[in-house]
Amino acid sequence: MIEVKNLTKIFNEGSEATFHALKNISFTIRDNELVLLKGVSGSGKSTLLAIIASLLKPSSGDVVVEGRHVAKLPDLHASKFRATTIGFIFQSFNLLDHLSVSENIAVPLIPMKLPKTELIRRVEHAMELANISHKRDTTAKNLSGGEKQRCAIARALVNTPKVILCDEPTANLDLDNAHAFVEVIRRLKQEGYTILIATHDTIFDTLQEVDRTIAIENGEILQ
Amino acid sequence: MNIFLSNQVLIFLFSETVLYLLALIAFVGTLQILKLWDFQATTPRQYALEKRAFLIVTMIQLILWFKILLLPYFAYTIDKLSLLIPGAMCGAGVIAANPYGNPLLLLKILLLFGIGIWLIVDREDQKAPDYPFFKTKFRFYLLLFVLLTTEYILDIVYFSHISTSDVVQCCSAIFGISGSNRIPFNLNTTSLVAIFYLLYLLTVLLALQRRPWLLFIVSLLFLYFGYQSVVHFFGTYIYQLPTHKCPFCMLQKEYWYVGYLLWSLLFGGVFFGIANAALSVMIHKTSLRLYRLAILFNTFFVILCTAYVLFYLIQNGVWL
Amino acid sequence: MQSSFLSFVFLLVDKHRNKHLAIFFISTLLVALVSAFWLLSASIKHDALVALAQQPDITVQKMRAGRSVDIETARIDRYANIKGVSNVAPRVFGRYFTPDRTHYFTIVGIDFFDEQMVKWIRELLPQIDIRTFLEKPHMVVGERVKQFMHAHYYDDYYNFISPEGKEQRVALYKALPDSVNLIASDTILMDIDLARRILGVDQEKATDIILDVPNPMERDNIRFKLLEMDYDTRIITKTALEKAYENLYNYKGGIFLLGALIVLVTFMLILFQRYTMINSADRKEIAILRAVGWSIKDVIRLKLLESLTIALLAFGAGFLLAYGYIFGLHAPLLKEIFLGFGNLPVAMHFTPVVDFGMLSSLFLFFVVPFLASVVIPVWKIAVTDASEALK
Repeated sequence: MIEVKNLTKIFNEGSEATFHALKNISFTIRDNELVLLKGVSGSGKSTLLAIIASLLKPSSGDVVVEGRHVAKLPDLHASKFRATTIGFIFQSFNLLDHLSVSENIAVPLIPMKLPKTELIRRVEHAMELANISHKRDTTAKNLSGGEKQRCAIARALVNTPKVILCDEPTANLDLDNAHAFVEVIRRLKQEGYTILIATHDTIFDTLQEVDRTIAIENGEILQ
Repeated sequence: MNIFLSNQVLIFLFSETVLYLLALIAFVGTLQILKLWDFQATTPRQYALEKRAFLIVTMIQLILWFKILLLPYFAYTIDKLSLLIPGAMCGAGVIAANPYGNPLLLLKILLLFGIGIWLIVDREDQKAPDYPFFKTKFRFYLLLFVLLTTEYILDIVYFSHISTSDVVQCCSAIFGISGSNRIPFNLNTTSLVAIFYLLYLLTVLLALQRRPWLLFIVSLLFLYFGYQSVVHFFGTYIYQLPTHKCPFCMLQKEYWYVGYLLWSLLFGGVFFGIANAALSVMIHKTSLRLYRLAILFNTFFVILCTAYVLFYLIQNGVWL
Repeated sequence: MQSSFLSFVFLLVDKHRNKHLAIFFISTLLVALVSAFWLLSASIKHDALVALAQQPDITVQKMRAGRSVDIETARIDRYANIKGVSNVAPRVFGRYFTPDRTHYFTIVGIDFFDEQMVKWIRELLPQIDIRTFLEKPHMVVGERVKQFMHAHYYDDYYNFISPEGKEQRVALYKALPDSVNLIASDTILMDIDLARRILGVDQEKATDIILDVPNPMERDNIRFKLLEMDYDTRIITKTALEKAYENLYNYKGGIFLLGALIVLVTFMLILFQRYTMINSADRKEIAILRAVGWSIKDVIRLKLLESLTIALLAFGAGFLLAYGYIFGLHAPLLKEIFLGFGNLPVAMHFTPVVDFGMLSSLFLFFVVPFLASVVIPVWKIAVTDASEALK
């Protein structure tokens, strides 16, 4: 469960370039809900996701994920939280271009000090889930858009997270791949993940599995 | 001034200088942190301070690891200098070349202990989500910095006061029968060795019983009597010469550099022995692992010392 | 496990190799330069000290008006009685100037009745047949002497002229082996009485008296005793000679190292500069790591290990390069800089001398400043604002 309580984020506070990215946002997402966060670019979606993932600290307010207060965690605990609870899928995939598919997927597991056999097992499993095993040794920059997306999904799943956060996941995909991605989301919802998708793509509108839509504009939640 | 042109001294002092610069930067950062730290605050300044803290911690860790390497290198430098200084056959003479040598050596060992404690506190601090020992560890660093500064100054003063023309005493003069370093309390060798083994057993017992303060006291005693025992008894079996009493000669090639191992084991064992007491004062916690390490190091130390004696006995059938 | 972390470090080093290449090359060169100097210097010092070890433990010279004069051989019995002295022998040697007085050689007389001397000469020239050597005036010469003789049309013998003007023909027995030519190429070895005749030393006298004192700790004691016995002497101990040698090498080595350290400081600044230049691709890479769960501590560890890997690779490469240069190629050019350009034996082979101390010194010299220089740039990139970089 994700609880966002009175979250505010102000960038460059006290200077001329002050920017209120989020203004006193509050909402709750229950376990296994699939929620769409809709808003145009600059509405604060990415900032919100980053704060939920404890990648960014708010100016005020709190975020509770799976019972933990994560808004102001020190880095060591924030990163552990991200590593065990959150799976992130980015707009531009954000793969490490020089590494292969399997190496990219292994990245979240490396600081965990797992035995090598366990690490390989988890990577293999994630690759199967995302249907990208056949490309395991291909360098990331040589993948097609859809393949990159699948690699990013595998990476997000490899550490068995509870929550999946997606930031404009279909923005760089053609229609076929976008549909494929929607299918993946459907499956993940069925498997019990809590999913939050920040998007302005209408392709998700028809997805029955969507439990709720939260609209955000200028850092505030509408309705 | 000739001394400064010895390769080892140059490299040693250069390394110390580089590390001191890092320590200085860490010191300035620490002052800022101590003044402005407020964990509950959500201001950008606090977040910036948290980031700064990473730099300082990383620097201090780097300084520790290099200091651990620099202590044996210091011993090596001193040993090499004995080739240049009239009268010296090993490091003993060089250390005694001026009154700064022995305090410097002691300070280095003390500093190593201090930095070791700091690292343990840091580790504990990072385990909890609210950095409970944050201010403690940085205040402790201020103390360490004072020691680091003293050490650096002493380094320079010590080396610049070594003359290549004045004759120094060699270790047989310093430690031998005619020397000023007799066995303390007018004990004979047998009593000394008996006390040595007794203290060892006591450290093991207290570590198993997990009594940090008693272990602290006994460890310090063990350090003292361990040193004396090595110089006056075990060392003679390493050199296979009853009159050769010197803590430094065993660092040389002829004795397979065993001195480095021997002293490392003793210092390690004593460090782990006293660490829990220091921790209980600073952070009100103790660590089981430290007790175990104390037992491990002290045991290996005692085994090594005893091995030389046994080896000689088996080989020759008599005591020295 | 740690091994997967390390594998990842090596993977990244490999992928980023272009970024690290320039630093790697400069580092390797720096390490190679210093290593070459130290290896060569250690090798020469080693050979010199080995030759020096052949020297007697104590040498006694008689002094008059601050100058060394011939000493009475009668003193030998008194010296032999000192406790701790195992052997006493007279030495006859001196400079012999060529007729035009422009060159000189050192004539060293060998007393074939002295066991130590005989042992020594057998070590030097294993194939020597002493009987043949003593049958008539013979000598063993160093390389330079041989060259001189040859240049003056003497090949099998030489006509020495004593101070009284008498000629003395001495036949050439053999040349000295290569290994001692570093310090002995101007030397002529001959029988002691022959040397006396040529140098003009009386029968009951010697140039100096040498003593063997096996226990090094006793040498200083014995030195005092000797001075007490005969006030008109100068006592030279081998230990003092060794220290003088060490001091000399020390001094020269130190000057070089000072220069190297200055270069190193410049290098540190370059290093700092280079790694502080963080481009957006680097930032993005770190941001990705952070976003998927890497802590700042993990990133710092990654980057420091990366730097350490480069440093160690350069260290290894530099050292091996220098080793090959000195002991494989025999140090062209550097050899001449060390030993002077003229008069070198043709094929100069250096004894490889490497000890753990030298490697430690090299390691500290290089790795400490290397890591110290990168710690701030590493930190800076690790604390990059992840969410900013990912946009």
